[in-house]
Amino acid sequence: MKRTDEIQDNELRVIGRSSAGNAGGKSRRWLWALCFGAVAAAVAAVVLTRKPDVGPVAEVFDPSAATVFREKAPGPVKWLGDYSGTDGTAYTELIQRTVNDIPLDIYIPHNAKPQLMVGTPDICDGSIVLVTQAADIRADNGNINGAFVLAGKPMAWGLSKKGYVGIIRDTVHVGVADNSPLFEAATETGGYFFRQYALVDNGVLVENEPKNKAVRKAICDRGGEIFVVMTRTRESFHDFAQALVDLDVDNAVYLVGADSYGFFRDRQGRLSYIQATHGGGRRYENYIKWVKVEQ
Amino acid sequence: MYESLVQGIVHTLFRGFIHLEKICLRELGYLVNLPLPSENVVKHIVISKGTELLRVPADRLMYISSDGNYSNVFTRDGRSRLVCMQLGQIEDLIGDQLGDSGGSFLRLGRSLIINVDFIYLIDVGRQQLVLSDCSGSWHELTASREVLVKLKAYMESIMKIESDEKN
Repeated sequence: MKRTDEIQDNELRVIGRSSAGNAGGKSRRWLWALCFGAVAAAVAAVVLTRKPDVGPVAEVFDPSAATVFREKAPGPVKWLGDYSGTDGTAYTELIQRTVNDIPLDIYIPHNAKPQLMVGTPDICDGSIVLVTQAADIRADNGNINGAFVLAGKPMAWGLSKKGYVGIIRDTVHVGVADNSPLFEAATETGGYFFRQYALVDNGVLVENEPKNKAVRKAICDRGGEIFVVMTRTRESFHDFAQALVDLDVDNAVYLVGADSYGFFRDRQGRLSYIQATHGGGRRYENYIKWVKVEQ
Repeated sequence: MYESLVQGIVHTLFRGFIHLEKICLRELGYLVNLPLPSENVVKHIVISKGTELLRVPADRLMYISSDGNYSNVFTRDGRSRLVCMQLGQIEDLIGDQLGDSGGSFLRLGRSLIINVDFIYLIDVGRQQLVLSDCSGSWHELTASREVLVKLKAYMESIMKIESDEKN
């Protein structure tokens, strides 16, 4: 096991030279001779004991092995949304709950598929049933903060926050990881990926640095149900995350909060703003939107 | 007698793999003067990850900086390329691919790998390190005071060794 990551900022290391320096030529020759002998023996052993080929090796990223969230399989928790409608109408259901004295708006999209977009969403586009800002924008250069994949095209790289949302073949994956195969999966399948603060990781609250209070927003997975939660009051990260844990959310990742722009359409097709004030004008302003699934 | 026996064994073992045979024989010390096919060719550093493969001539690579779990590769032509690999992994890779000739590359702290051939200025006082090819490519980097002191000492020792070898 190599240990090259173990270096401090005040250390210098020469690459490609062993610390032992140049060992004596003779001992090196014997070492090589031994290595080649071992290789030859191994090759002979493989040839002599060769067995028929086994089946195909599993893919590096196997979506079937990952947790799939959009299937309506009955889970241990009762879903929050009303899924009794069978007419296939795309809309967003708004539920209001109070958890730990924190009033929450819960937006549950129905019959719609998630996508990311860059630019201002078209309010006249009737296919959009829910849209809200996704990844943060860097204040210094206006670029997207953290890795971001748009329809298979990587637009930003880097690990600024450990929470991630991957959308692979219209399936939302919410989680926490330094390295997620979903970034590569998104690039390979024309999917979407972005990073944000992690709030809940497998039912456990995740602490975050910012301590200020603001209107908070998150994308959540609760027993396979995906929805967006927004506080109606200004809350700290900790209190918001605790409320999500108490709501039995399994995984939650933050979305741009405060007064970030967003809107949704209800079952009757009426448009309502989540936040009407649009800062606008930022080149990489990005959104997660749910659009009507074509029947 | 003994040498020809070893050569015969190596030839049999690596039948059809001339390159491997030459490496083996050279390492065993019996073919010292026979150059390998690739020895006169510029060595490349190949970084392959996911759907991308980046191939950079080692002598054109100026430095690599860390960007979280990713790394930025800066080349002499002024271009840079972000790769999905941590700096430590690239350090391993350079060591594996270049072997002893990887000694042109130094890991400075957690965030830099530099090619010493392009060191233009080490200013410990200002904590400044300038890499340049003196023909248009110029990169001003910062590093800790301690690592710059070590770098300066390393470069001075290299200079002394080269000077001693000439004498």
